[in-house]
Amino acid sequence: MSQNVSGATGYQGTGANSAINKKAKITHLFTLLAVGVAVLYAIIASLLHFYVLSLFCVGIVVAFGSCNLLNRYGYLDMARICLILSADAFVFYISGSLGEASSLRPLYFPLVCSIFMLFDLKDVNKIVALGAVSLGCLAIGEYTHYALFLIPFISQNTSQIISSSTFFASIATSIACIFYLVSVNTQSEKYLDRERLNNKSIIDNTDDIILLVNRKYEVEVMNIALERSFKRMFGDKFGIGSNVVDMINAIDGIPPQFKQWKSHYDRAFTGEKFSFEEKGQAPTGDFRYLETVFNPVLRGGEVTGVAIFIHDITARKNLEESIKRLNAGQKAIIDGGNYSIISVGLDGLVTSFNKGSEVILGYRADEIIGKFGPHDLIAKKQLMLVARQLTETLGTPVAPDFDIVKAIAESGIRENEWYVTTKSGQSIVLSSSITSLRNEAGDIFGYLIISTDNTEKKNAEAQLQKAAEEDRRRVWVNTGIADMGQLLRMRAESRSIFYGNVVQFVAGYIDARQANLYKVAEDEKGNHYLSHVAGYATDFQKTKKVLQFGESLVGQVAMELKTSLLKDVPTDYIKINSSLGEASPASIAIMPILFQDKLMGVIELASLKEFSPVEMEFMERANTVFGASIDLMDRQDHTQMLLRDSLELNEKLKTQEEELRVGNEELTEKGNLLQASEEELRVQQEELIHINESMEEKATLLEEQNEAILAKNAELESAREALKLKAEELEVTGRYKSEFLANMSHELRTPLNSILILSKLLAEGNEGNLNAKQVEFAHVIQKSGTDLLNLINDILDLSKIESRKIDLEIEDVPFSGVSYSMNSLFVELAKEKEVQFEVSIAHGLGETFKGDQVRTEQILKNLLSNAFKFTPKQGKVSLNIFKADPKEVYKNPHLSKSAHNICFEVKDSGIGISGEKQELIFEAFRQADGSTSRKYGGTGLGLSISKELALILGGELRLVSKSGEGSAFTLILPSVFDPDSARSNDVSGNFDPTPIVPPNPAVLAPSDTKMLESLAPSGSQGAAKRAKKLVLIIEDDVQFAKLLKNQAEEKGFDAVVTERGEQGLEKIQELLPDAVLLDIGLPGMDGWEVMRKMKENPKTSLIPVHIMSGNDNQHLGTELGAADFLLKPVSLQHLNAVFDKIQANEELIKQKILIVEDSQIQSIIVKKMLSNKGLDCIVADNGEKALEMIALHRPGIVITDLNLPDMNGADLVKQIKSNPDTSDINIIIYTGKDLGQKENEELSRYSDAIIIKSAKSQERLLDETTLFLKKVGKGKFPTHSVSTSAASFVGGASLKGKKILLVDDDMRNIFAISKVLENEELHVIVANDGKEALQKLESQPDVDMVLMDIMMPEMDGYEAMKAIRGQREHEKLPIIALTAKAMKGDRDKCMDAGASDYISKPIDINKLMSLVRVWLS
Amino acid sequence: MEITNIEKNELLGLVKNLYGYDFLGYSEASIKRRIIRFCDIHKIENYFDLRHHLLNEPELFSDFVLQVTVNITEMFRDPSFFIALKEKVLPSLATYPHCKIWHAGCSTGEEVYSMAILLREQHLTRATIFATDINAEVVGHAREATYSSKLMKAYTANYIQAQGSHAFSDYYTANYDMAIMNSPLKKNIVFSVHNLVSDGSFNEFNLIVCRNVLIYFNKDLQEHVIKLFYDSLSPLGYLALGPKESLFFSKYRDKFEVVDKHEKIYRKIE
Repeated sequence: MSQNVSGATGYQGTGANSAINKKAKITHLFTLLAVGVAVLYAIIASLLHFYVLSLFCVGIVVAFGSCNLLNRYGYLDMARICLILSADAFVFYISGSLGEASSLRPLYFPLVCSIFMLFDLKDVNKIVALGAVSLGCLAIGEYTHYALFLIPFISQNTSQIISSSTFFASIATSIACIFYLVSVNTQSEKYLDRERLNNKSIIDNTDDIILLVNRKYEVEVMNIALERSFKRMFGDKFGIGSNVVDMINAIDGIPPQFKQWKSHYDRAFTGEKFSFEEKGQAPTGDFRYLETVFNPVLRGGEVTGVAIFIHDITARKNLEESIKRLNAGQKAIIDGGNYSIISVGLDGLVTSFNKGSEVILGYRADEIIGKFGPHDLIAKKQLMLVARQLTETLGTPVAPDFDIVKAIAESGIRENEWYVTTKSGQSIVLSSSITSLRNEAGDIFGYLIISTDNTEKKNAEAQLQKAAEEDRRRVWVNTGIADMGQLLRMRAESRSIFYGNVVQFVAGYIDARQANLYKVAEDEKGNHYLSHVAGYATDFQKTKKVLQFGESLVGQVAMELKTSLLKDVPTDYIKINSSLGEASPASIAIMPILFQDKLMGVIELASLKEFSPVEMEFMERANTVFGASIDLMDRQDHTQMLLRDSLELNEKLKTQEEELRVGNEELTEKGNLLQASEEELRVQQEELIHINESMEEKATLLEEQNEAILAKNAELESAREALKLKAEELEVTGRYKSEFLANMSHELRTPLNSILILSKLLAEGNEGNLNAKQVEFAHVIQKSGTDLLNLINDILDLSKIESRKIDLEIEDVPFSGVSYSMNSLFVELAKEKEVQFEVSIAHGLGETFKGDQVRTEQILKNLLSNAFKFTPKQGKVSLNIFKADPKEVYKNPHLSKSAHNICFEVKDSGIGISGEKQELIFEAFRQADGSTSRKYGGTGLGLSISKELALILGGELRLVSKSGEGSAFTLILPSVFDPDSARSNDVSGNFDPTPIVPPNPAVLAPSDTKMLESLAPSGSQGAAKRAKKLVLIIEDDVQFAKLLKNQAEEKGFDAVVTERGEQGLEKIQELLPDAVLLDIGLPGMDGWEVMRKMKENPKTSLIPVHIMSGNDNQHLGTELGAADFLLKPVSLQHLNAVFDKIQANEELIKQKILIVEDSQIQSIIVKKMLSNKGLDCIVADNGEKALEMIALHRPGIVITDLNLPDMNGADLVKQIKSNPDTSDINIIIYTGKDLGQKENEELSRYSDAIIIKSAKSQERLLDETTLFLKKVGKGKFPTHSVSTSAASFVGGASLKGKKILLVDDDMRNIFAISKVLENEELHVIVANDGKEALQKLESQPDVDMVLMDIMMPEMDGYEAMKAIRGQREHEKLPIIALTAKAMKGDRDKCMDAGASDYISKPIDINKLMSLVRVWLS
Repeated sequence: MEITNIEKNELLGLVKNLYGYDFLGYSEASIKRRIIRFCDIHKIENYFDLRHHLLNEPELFSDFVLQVTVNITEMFRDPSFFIALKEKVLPSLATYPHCKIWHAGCSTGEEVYSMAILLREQHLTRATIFATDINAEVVGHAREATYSSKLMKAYTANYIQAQGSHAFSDYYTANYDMAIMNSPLKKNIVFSVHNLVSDGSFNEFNLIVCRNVLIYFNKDLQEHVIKLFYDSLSPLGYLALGPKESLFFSKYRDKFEVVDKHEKIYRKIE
């Protein structure tokens, strides 16, 4: 600063000199001093880290420096300003940094300085004075140190302008400063005194003991309480100023801890503050707790003393103790449970953290308490979520931090679940409840969070939920797939509709809002591309119709064959449109549709939500199904395309084919039928050929015949003459016969007379010695005799009439006479029969006619008696005599010749006679109905006689009748009888000119007869000894007969042919052939009759008859006992079969048959039947005898009854079968007994057939016998259901004694299987159905195995097996199912029902045995 | 739609492999008609669809079996047949202590019950009838024995024509448009599923009735079935076929004798 000043001096001091230099030096000195002080300040400040201060100190130095420089070169004003500024800055920042200046205060100074400087150039002194005053005021007012800075200022000023006023002002300033300092000091003294008093009263008023000790261990301060206790303890010995150490040492009995106090003091003197608690016993005897605090007293950074405070803390201590105890209990409770209990203070930090929490959360309590809040443990995400929820529910904003805890506690939400991460990083779920902790006043001071670990439960729940979800998902997916399948099967009208349906369905099912379906297509070059085929809510404008592979995402998917799922779809990607607006999809799925890894198409689906995995799964499955469907349709298309092409090409061919096909199908349809008829036709054709041949033969024959006929005509002529002679002869013979008869009748009548008379006598019983019965007998004899006599009379009459041995007496007969005699004859009968009877004679008839009255009356009598006979009560009979119509035509020429004819009409209202019978009644021995004779009596000769008589009388008899309406017989006679003409016409018999020729046996042409003769057997005709068998053929068709004969001879038979029934019958009786081939339609006696006759004759009844007929009445044939019935036309094959049958009959003969039967009749019948078949039968009438005979004769068959006198038939059968020598004898049980099931089974095992006697039993006996004999002839019996293999069952352990239950209702199986099993020495029990099997199992629980048939009555195998398995003890019993079924499912069904194994029928015995071995081992 | 023989054979071959049902031996024209009918019912338009659905849908297949096998029957159908049975067969069966009758291809059981009625009227109580069919569904129906009561009128006429000796109404109870056959008739009937093509003989019978079944089979299968019948017949057992069927073309012709030519009743003679 001196330099500055000197510089300035040099500039200004034109006249000044050494004095100025001197002053300049001083100024310079001051300046240096100021700069030095500033530098010092800066250094100190920097050392004390008052960087701001040090910085400004530097600033001051710079300011001072620059001021000095300016001053030196004469810029005084500038220098001054700098100086002021530096000072100002210095003051301002010192004061500011020290914090002692108010914001406004620093402004005073620069303001004043500035004013001062401005005025300095004009009236410096005044200004300086003013400034000095103001500064003085200031300094006095508050800040003394400001004044200090005036010093350099002033000194500077002095260097420039020396003025007294300035000087004074400086002095005044200094004085003011001193005043100020003094006043300040005084004020603080007073203040201190006041403070001390206050302190004293405070200290004295506390209950604590307060002691202040200085470094010399002297008491400086002590309060009243201490004074009092000191006084109590030590009297006035101690007080302020006493040495504490001495004091302590001086006291006897002072508690030992006080001895250490010196060290406590020393410790406190080092500046440490500490405290300790002590327990002591008060003089009152109570234990007191005291807390002693040593507090060093610092004065100017030095420990000047120690203040000691002693509190009585007994009450607090006690409270603490009790709280501690309480806490321990609570802690135990809290720590004991498996709960996490966390309490939290209001600051959000955990205040307690129990053991349970440690276990659950993995943190130690000390890691958490006071460091973390509960919310720190919870996942951030959940916090956000809960916060949002709470904000919504509570309506006040809740922050995602401790706020949540508060909010939950306040809202009273009971349970919360929190996802918490444990220390080990595991995520667990806690179920927590949060409650507010309140103090007594009800203010919340914290929160209690009690939690349990819900993770497992949660996990289980989650799993369940997942499973349910999975299930739901599966159902959902499956339902969708099923529906889709249905949709795919449905045929849409077109492909595009079909695709549309599918897309619609898929989109609808997964709730997609937009969908597009692209299908792989092929262009002409064979390149594949994607073609849009269907859409769902598609935006058609934006949708590309065609996409190349790789083009867009869809094309990309088509290339990669991988599903592409877009989740954050750009908003401008696509829009889902509706008429109302549009939205962006949340996700888009683009999926390839594959079939067997081949791309069929691509489906794109857009949804407003994200696709769930389930939906994706559905889509994938749906795509698979869809893919298959598309493939199918593509192939269909392909096929249809091909089909269309070929259709076009082959149009014409097709129509032809169509016709052909239709025809073909019809043909095929009737295949079966056609084939049959074809075969039949072939047979007929064969026959036709035969017939043709015979026709040709016949034609030639006819030619021959024609010639022969011409030759024979001549022969015939002569023959006729011969016949004429013969006829005459015959008439003569006839007459002789009649004569003989007439004579004979007389001879008959004579003894009859005596019988009649005598029997009448007897009947009248005049003697009275006959009983009623005998009388009755006599009546019968008489009546019969009368009948006989009438008959004889009639016969006689007839024969007389026939032999014309009647003499007529012709006379004039009056009509009235005839009328009278008829009336008198029948009037009584009419009354008796209550029939009305009238006789009338027509007018103009004349009186008489010429004829024989007796004969006429005989005829009328006959007619009338007939009329009465057939007219019931209340009926009417009349005789009318009238003239015949002259135009009438007559059969009898007499009547035609006669001029007048008379009619005698006998009319009745009787039963009448039907048209066809009207002819018959006139024949001798005939009546209208065979049965009428029984009803009405009579010989039936009356009308014959009448007719003959009428003829003789030259008239005729006519009949007009209708059945049920009565009859009218009219006798027409000529009015004049001419006996000559009548007689002459007798023989010619014009009444019935054609004699009835009986069927002529000789209708065959002569050549035929010859042929038949040639057919006759050449060999001897004796029945007994024949080398060959003889067949008799009765057949009228010559050609067929010939065929039969040839066939028979070819087969090694002799054959005889006859063409008529009668002849045939004769031949049969004569030749006794071995068989008869019989036609039914024969001339004369028909085949049926022949057969009946044959059967009637015991000699011929058993000859087998084979009927061959065009007449289909097989039934009758069988009934009559025909061996065979062949319907014509008969095929050659059948014919051969017939001959074979005849041949076979022969072979049967070789076997002997034993009939065991106690009833002789029965045995004879059976024997006869069999013997007739040529079988050799022997008979035994009891069991013993039967066995004997078996041994002796070794029969092939035994037929036995069950009821034998000496033993049961069943036992006999068993004996036969159990004897190895006889076990192969066939046994037929022939019994009338109705067998029970048991019996049947038993017998079935030992017999080959059981026949129950009934209508058809004989037939069956014969059949069975024949069958057995046939089998014997052929050897082995056929095996059926069981194929017994010859292989022996080698190896394996013996199965001996094991028990097997065989359940089957098939006898064949039972026999075959049990036989095999028994050979292995297994014990077999048999049951016929499931029910029985169960019963057997119950009664014999030691069964080792069951063989179970499936199809059985009552209870089938399935049920039976289930029932067996249902029993605990049979759970493991081996059951082998025997079944006829071969399909997979059947086997499973057996196994399901409980079968251990399975074998299918027919049963292979080897296989069965290995099964048995396996299951029994 | 149409179906070629190759397709038909392929389809039936697949069916055989997949389901075990062998229809290959069925008469060509007949099975084709049935298949086409099946397609019509199910609106299946072509062979490929048919194959696809049939092989993938087991439920559909059971209906296929039902449709393909013809189940037409009635009670006392062909009354003369029953008269022939009564006169020519049953008297012989009466001589057995117990006789077994097999109704092969019993369909819904009408003929079985007719037989049961006949047996009852002929006092043939010692007889068991085994009624079988390939189709489980119709066997179930047969076992149920319920028929539309409308049919009963026609059946009654048949019964009278067959010279039934009672009132037909004695054998059923009708209500709600249905008639159920009285249960005593069922007592001796065993119903079961049996496949004539694949399954074997399961018992020995005195009478086998198999009417109008063979007409649906081709020659080879007919022969196979006749052999099965032959094996299942007891000696002197009877075989009754349908009016259009015959043993005349069979190899087994000589092993049978004709009992009634018109009613196609045969008897095993060797």
